[in-house]
Amino acid sequence: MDAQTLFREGVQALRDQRDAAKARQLLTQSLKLDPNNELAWLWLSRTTNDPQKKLHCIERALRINPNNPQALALRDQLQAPTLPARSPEFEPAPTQFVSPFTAPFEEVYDPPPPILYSSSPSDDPHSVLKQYESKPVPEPVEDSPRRARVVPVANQKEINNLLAQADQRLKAGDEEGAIETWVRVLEMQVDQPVAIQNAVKQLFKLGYKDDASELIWRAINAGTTSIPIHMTAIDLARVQGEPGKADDLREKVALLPNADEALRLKMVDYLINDGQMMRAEALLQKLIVAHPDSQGLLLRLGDMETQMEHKAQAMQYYERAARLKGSGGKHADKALSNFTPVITDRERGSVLLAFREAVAFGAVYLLMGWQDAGLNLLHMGSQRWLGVLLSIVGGYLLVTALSAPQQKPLASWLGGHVPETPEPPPVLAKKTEYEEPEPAVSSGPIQEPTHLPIVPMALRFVFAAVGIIVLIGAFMLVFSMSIQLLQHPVTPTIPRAIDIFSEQP
Amino acid sequence: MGAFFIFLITIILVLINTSLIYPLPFSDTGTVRYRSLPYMTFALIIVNSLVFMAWQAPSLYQAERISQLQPYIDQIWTYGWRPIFMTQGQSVGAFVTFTSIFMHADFFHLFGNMIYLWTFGRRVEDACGHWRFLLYYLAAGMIANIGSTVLVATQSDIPGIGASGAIAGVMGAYLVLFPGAKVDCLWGLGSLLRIPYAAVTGKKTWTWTVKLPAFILLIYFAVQEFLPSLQTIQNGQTVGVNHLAHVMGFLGAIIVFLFVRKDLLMRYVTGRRV
Repeated sequence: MDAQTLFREGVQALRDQRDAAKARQLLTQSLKLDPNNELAWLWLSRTTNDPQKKLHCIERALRINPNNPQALALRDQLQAPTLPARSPEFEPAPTQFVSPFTAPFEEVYDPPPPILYSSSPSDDPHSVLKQYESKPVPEPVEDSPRRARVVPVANQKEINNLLAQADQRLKAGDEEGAIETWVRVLEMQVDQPVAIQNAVKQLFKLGYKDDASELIWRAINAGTTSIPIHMTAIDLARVQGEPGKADDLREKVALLPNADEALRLKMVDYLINDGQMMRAEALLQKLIVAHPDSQGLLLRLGDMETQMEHKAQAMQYYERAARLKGSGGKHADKALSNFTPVITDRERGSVLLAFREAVAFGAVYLLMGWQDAGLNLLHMGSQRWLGVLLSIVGGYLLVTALSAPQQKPLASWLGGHVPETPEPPPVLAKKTEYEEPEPAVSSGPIQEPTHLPIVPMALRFVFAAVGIIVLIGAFMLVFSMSIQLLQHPVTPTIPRAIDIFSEQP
Repeated sequence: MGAFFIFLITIILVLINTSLIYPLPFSDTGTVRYRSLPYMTFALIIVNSLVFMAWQAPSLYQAERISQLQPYIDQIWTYGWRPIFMTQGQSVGAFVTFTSIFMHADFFHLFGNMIYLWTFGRRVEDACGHWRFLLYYLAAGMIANIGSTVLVATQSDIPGIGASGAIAGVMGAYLVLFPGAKVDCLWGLGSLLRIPYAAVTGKKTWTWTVKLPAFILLIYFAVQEFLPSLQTIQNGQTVGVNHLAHVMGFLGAIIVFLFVRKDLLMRYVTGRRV
């Protein structure tokens, strides 16, 4: 293929198929064969979002023709952008929003494509919209999101022809004519991506923001589900100082059936970061009703409820998230462990609760003594009962040393000191996207700030040691007969294997 | 290699056979509260497996004639649970209460028990803490052994082995502590039964596993064990599976509140969620 053919195909790939990668490949090949094609350099600049690369391509074009007006204009725009800055929420768009707008918001606000035009922008573009305005905009209906995109095959051909015409007109410098043609396309398909994108871009370039906005809103009112169009509308609303409208649109975008989880979360996060917690919460609840298996939404609502100190609700959402498959399950588990088990001073300082654990030792020793006494409680004898009693004492000492060193009266009596206030559980930060949370509390219940004294460490060591010794002694008492048998086993009667198996049917 | 392949096929066939009609739980889907590694459950599984693999399996699986099974029989009849050891002071006396709950009759006995311990043990351990869980496990095993003996008037001197009584205690504790939890089960019939439900509700039509509420699964287990237990009490005979020991272990859950963490107990008693 020669350089010109490669160039033509590269332009087509970018313009018609919105395939930047293919276009880049073809244009690069063309430029290898003919590095002096200034238009190829300009088109190549359109295949990248990297301003440095764009600038490099434009500089190359200017090296060939220092007076190329498009290249000069593009360079000026790149070096001093005047169009509204994109909001941060749109930054990662290229990976999330695919065709029809490969990189939707950048496309809308990026410098215009390197098409030769010469007409003055002072001409009134309203004239080209007049016939469009005179026609009523279809009201959205129940199935309008789909209807807005359905175009008969015959019309599709006409649309393609009109798009080609518009392109030619633009090449010829007839911007009004091009806009008029795109508007005709939009009459047939109100959210036709190429037409709306180019028309909005041209109108914006010419300074007619209201007209650009109107085209966008016509598509939205007709029920388009195009996410790029909605996002462009959000940008427009922001630029025009209508934050309420932008928020309404965000809510709408989040509820679009073709929005993915990441986008929904972005919309919610915008509301959260804007301080509209109640609205964000209501939106999340709505979204969870529609998408009950969305782990990200459940986690976000759990995080929100945590921040609002609605622990029970937060727990409910985290538990739902934890049961779903996905990487967020770990986050849900960690979040649950962060705040769920709270041990209060009442529980920590309770002698009764500590004694309960000691009774558990007693129960186990009683069962052992019962067996050792020939499975007859009446034959336990004083020795084994003493063993059971001692097991409770030993258990209590061990429990006091290890798991309940803050029993209020005991610790005070033993001259315990109040520990420093433990750190509160970490607050879950707002995140624009799911991220691994900060390391959670490793294990054990959350230590709420406490004012209870704690048994001194040295005494705890003593208690533990004495407790273990007492428990061993108690074991020797309750298992006295079995310990004797362990030392001098009595061989039991054992049948022969052959007898056992010959008895079986 | 061939033997290993046959072994795997056998395991799969046993799993299919076991889970075709009745659900076979293999994991619980609930979240734990304390994020503690359930190392006591792991340790119990390892000890049970080691006791069988290193001590019992060689004498069981290397025997070529019935008479060569004598060492295996000796092990079971010496260290299995026989009330006569306690009433007449034989073997190692009451120590068999500990030895018997770590012994198993064959590989599938061990495998089945360990699946249940894995499924229900981790979360109960989380609720109790490691060492209290071990104490509770042993207590449940002892309750199963004692209960299955004292409730039967006439004893046949057949040794009882297996961790199932202790594990039934863990299952009972799970029912008491987490009745609403969901348990992942292999269940052939259930997978088929959920197809029309899934078709109506728009869920995934076929899944290999079925999530069942713990209370359904565990109450079903208790009922299933209870009827043959009555028969055992009535006839005074325990042959094959000791259902009465399972029931008694399960009922051992009434003492689990002595072993759970204090904050969990208070949440349970007061009804507060956090």
